[in-house]
Amino acid sequence: MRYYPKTFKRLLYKGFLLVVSILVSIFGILHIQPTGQVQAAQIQSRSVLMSSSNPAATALSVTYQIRFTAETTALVKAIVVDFCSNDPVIGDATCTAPTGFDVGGATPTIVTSTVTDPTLTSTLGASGWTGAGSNLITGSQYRTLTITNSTGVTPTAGTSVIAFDMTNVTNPTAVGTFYARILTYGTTTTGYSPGSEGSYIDYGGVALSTAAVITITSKVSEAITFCVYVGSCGTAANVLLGDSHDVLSTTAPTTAAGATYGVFYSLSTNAAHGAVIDVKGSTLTSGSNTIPAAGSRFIYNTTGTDFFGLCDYNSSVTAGSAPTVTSYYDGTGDGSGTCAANTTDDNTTASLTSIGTNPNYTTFGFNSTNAATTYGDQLASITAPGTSVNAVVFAAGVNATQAEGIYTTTLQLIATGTY
Amino acid sequence: MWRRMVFIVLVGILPLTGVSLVQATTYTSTHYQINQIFFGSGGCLSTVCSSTNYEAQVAVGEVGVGNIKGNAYQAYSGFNTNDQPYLQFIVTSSSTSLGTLSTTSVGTATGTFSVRDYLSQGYIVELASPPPSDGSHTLTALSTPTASTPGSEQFGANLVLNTSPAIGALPVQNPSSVFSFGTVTAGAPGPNGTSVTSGYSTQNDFQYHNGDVIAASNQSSGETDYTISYITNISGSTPAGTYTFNQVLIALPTY
Repeated sequence: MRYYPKTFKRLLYKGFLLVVSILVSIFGILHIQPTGQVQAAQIQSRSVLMSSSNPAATALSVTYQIRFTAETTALVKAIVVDFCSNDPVIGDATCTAPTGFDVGGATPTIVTSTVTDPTLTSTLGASGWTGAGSNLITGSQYRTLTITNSTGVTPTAGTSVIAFDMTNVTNPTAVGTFYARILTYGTTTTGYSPGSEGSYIDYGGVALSTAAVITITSKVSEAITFCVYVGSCGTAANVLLGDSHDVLSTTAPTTAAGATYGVFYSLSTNAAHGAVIDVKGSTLTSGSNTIPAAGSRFIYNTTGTDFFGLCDYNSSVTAGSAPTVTSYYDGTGDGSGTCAANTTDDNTTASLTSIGTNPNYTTFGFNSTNAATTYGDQLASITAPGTSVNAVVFAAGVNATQAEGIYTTTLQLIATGTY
Repeated sequence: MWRRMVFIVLVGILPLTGVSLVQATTYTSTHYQINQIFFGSGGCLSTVCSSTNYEAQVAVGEVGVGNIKGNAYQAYSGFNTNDQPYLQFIVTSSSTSLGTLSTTSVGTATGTFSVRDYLSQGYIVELASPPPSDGSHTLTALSTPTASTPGSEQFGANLVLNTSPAIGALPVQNPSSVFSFGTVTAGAPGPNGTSVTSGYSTQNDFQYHNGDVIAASNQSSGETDYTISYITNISGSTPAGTYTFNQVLIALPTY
């Protein structure tokens, strides 16, 4: 048996006590403070952007963008977002599911490239992450979203923005506040449950709210506004066709056009399928005598010719398109002659050149057969709603044998909308 | 000997008791955390002043209340503070029928909403609906601030008091601008680099663009009440139909 001095025994015993004391202390600390939680930090600039706050939004149609700035530089392989109606507090063992809510089923669709906010740098990368719903509420509706990536990413604390979209969320059906609890993990197996969150890296709570909708209803009735005038809408549309004494010339045609002597018609309609403008009436008549109608695209290139006709062109369009003019009323039947460019009106006998030069004369038309029917002859038409102002130019010429008299006609322009 | 063993066990157990205190903290930095500190002559929190059926929070002799804010941090003074992120977003449900619109007069409607948030960096409110539509035609939304012009197809909104037409109201900060900070002023900052879109704060000018930010606060705010006004004008070629507009607003706080 070996002999040890008494002081040495005492020293050995004290050393034993010290070692045991230290071991017990370390053992106790390790058991009550999981490493992850001790270092866990609250994520900053965290938000959940909803594409709709309408509690009645179509199921699985709402997009939520989860966004926050990482507070710890550590490998992240999983993110949990738990939606609760009671509070956003990490550590609270109670998380009541918002009524009617769904993260998007058992396999929610997530977009880590954050398509709804292309200005963001995608910390998570465009692919590699998958979503899973957990904590079944009812049917196929889940309360908790977990996204995982076996490779993971390592955000930089304080600068890396983590963002992703959940694209098929169903909003809570009640109006009011609800919450999201967000946690990040370094492993794909999170072990998360409310009040027992496991070893998470960062965490944070967010408040969201659904809200009522402001509804405004208004009606627009079928409408057509059609005005035929000389000076302005509401004034008479009387045209005196002739020289300063209203006498037709045997040597040149007489035209009536423009703001003073021509006729305008304005058409404004919301008819979905457009409208038709018809001209109804007869040629110039004096008792039993008439001036022959121009027919189809009459060209006045010989002085002393009997005719009465008209052409039509668009003056302005403020909505929709200009009317399409029936071909023989559009004035373009001879070379480059047009109704708008070549006709003049100075209330005197026009020269032949005023309606163009050979071979580019303005042409005139008047289908007296069609114009005499119940609904008249189609002058122009539009195929969609529109607002326009258009001009009608009248022209007439007589030969030396035309019987004298005061020749008149009453023409109607009729607009018909199709709704 | 036994006394020494008891000492050893206590040394091992003591850390257990301290941890729960640390975990209850709210205000944190790298090294320190502070939770709901109480300085004053009286009062109690709801967890103390409660019975089976009733609960109260009592504040006596508060020495200071309100929000203190710097560039990076903010703090709240007062006994009745809360340690949870909070958002109150109320849109007053309304359904307005403008009847049959005319090319000679403007159709108007208003709606109201309020926002209050807490422990946040602020909030923004966004428009989240397309303009009125009858299913095939959508009314022309004003892309720039424009006055109401009957006879021209227009749909727009703003959040101020107007005289032509006479609708709307300025935002109201409740109880005062000391505690509430919501605003509709063009360019006013919200959290996270956001700001109020211009075009919704000029009297008699209206605009509408889905997704625009119409209100904001760049800090936690007491309640701000907003009135949003709408104008609708039609032209002679606006297609016939019943036009419906469901205004969805989104409040986005950042914490």
